[in-house]
Amino acid sequence: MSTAAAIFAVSCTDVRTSEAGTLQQEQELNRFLQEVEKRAVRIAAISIRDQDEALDLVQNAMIKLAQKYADRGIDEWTPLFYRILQNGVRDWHRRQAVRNRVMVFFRRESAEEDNYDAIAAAPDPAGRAPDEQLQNYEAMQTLELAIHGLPARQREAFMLRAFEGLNVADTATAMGCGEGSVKTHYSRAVHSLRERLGEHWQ
Amino acid sequence: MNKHDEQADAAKDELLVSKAKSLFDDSVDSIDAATQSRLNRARQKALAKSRRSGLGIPMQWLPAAGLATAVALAVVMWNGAGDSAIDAEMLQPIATAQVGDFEILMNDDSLDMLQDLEFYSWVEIDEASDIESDVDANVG
Repeated sequence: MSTAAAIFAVSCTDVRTSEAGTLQQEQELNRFLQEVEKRAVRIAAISIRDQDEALDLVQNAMIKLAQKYADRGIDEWTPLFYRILQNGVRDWHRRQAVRNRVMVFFRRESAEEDNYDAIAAAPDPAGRAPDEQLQNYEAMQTLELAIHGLPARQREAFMLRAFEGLNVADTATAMGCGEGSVKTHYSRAVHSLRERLGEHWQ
Repeated sequence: MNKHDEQADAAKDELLVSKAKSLFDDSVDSIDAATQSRLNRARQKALAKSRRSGLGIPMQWLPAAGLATAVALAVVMWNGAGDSAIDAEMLQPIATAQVGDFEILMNDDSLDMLQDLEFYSWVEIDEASDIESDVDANVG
């Protein structure tokens, strides 16, 4: 019985070590998601112009990352998370396109775009002077509209590179394309934004 | 486009990206409490699902855990089989005695003896003492 007891003890030690590792991994994942979630929801909201849907997309991305890729290295989480999120955004646009076609067929206009209330979707004040806040808000609205008007791939490349600060390699992983494509999309996006936003942005 | 123009162009790009980043960060900092609360709930939900899907054991440890369990089970069964052999030897007289008792109970002839157990035990002790006294006499 001593052999069995020894094996049982080793198994218990393994389980305890495994539990400690899992707890540490969970804490790291929690920290990562906490760091990324706000920027992710803003990026998704700019892409689809719908705050509630953006929150759902971010939640789905969090769940998929936690379920499928939690055991990957921490440095892999950011590109993987944004890849899942960007796939969600693309699927959302596809579903939206189908829904719009159906609505047109039934002669019912989808008023979702018209109902988008920029004031209601505006972020709450964070202790800045009202005029400064208003100025920033208006500038951000202009920027959001300009970004939203970009082709999808340019929009993705711009937000991942400029807002999230991903390098070219991680952006390529997140977008599921080559690094050369990322550079091209990003460069075109910046030039296009400069044209759209006009001289007062330069 | 000469080199000077290229540099000016790159500077303008950099300025735009920098301003856009600053506005974006500002909007992130201004996210309202309701959205933050929803994000927090979403995060907790994701972590709970991760816990459930992982069952507390990382996937790469599952084959090792399975092998350890199988080995432990085999050892316990092996040792258990040895113990049962010993137990059988030890239990054999008890089982025999129980069968004997059963036979006595089922045999009508022996029921009288069971009723006078005290008498028979006295006879047995008396016979034993007689034997001992005979032995002492012979030795003496």
